[in-house]
Amino acid sequence: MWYALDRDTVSMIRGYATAEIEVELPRVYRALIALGARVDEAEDATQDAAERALGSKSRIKRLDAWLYVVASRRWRQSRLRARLFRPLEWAHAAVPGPGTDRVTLLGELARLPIRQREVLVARYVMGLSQRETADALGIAQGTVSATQAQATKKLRERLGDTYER
Amino acid sequence: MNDDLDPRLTARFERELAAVPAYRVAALDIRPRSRWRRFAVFGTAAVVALVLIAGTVAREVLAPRSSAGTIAVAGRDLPELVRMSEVIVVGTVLSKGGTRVTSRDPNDLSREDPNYVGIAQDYAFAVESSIKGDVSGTITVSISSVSRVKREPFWYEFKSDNIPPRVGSRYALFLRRFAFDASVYVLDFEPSQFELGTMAVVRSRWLDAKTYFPDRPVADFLKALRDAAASP
Repeated sequence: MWYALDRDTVSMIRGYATAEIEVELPRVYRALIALGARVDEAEDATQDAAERALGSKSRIKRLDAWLYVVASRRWRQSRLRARLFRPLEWAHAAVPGPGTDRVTLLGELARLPIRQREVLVARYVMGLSQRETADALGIAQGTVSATQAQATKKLRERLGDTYER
Repeated sequence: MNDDLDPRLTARFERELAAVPAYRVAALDIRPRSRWRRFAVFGTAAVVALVLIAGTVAREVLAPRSSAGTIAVAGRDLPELVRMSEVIVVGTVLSKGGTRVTSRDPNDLSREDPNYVGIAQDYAFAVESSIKGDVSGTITVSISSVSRVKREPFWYEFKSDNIPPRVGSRYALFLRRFAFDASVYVLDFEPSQFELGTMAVVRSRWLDAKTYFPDRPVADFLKALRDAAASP
C-alpha cells in the first residue's frame, strides 16, 4: 500500500525537519554578512545552503557548521561568477576601506584574508569551538588557533583605541 | 569551550551585527532548478569532452601528409652527383647565422605563403676552392630546418631531414642557388654534405649513403670530385 507523505515527513525521514534547518538560518545569514556579503547575496547563499540541507540524504553531523561552510562557498562562487560577467567593473572597482570618520569591526574584518575571516566568523558569530571550526573548514585545529591569533592581533592593531569600546 | 574568545570582540560583533537587516525567512523547499543545474553542469562537461575529442580526431584527419622522411637522392656515385649539382664548393663552416623564411606565395612570389612557412638556418661558409660554379669568398648557405603547414584550424610543424653542419668543420658541399635570392645557396639533393676530416665522410639521413659513398681519404675524394667536374 502507498501513502502520500508531506514535505516535512519526507525531510524528517531524510534527516531534517524544515524547522530544524530554519532555526539556524539567521545565524548563518549574519555570518555571511560578517564575511563581507551584501544582504541580497547573504540571503541567496543562505537559502541555497538550506535547500541543500533539506535535500541531504543523510544526517549531517553538525548542521550549523555545515550550513555556514556551504553558504559561504555558495556566496564566494556567486561573487566569482558575478566578477566573470563584469570583468571591467571588477578590475576598476576600488577596494572599499574603512570609513575615515568611523572605524568598524566589519569594515576591518573585510580587509583580512578570507581564511582568517572564515575562522573568526566561525568562532565569534557561529559560536563554533576550535575543533568544530577545524572540522567544518577542513583544516587542523592548530591552524585554526594560529589563524585566529593572527587575525585578532591584526584587528586589534587596526581598530586601535576603538577596540576597547 | 570558547574560553579563548576575546569578550570585547564578541561584544563588538554582536553590536555591529545587530544593525544588519534581519534575515527574511523564505519558503524553504527543494527547488527543481537544483536538478537542472546539475544537469547543466554535467551537460556542459559532456559537451566540452565531445568538443575536445572531436578536435583531436579532426586534427588527425586534417593533418597534412609530411614529406619528412622522404629523401630525394641525386645520384649513387660522385660523377652523377657532380652532374646534378649546380655549385660544388670546398671550405669551412665559419658560423651559424640567423634564420630565413624560404617559402613564397605561389600566386605572388614577392610575398610569403600564408598557408606554408619554410624556415631555413643560415651558415657562413668560407669557400676554399670551387669545384663547380664560380664561387669565392664567404657565402651564405641556408639549410632547411622546419616547415609549418596550415590546415584550418591548425598549424602542423615538420622537422627537416637535413643534418646541420658543424661549425668549424671542413666540408665539400653540393649546392644550388636559392630561387628567391641569388646570393644565398641551399643544399642540393642528397647526399649533399661530405665532411673532410682525416677522411671524407658522407653526412646524410639516406640510409644507403654509406654503401654508395664509403669513407675515403680526403685527397682521393677531392681528386675524384675534380676529375668528375672536368669530364664533360
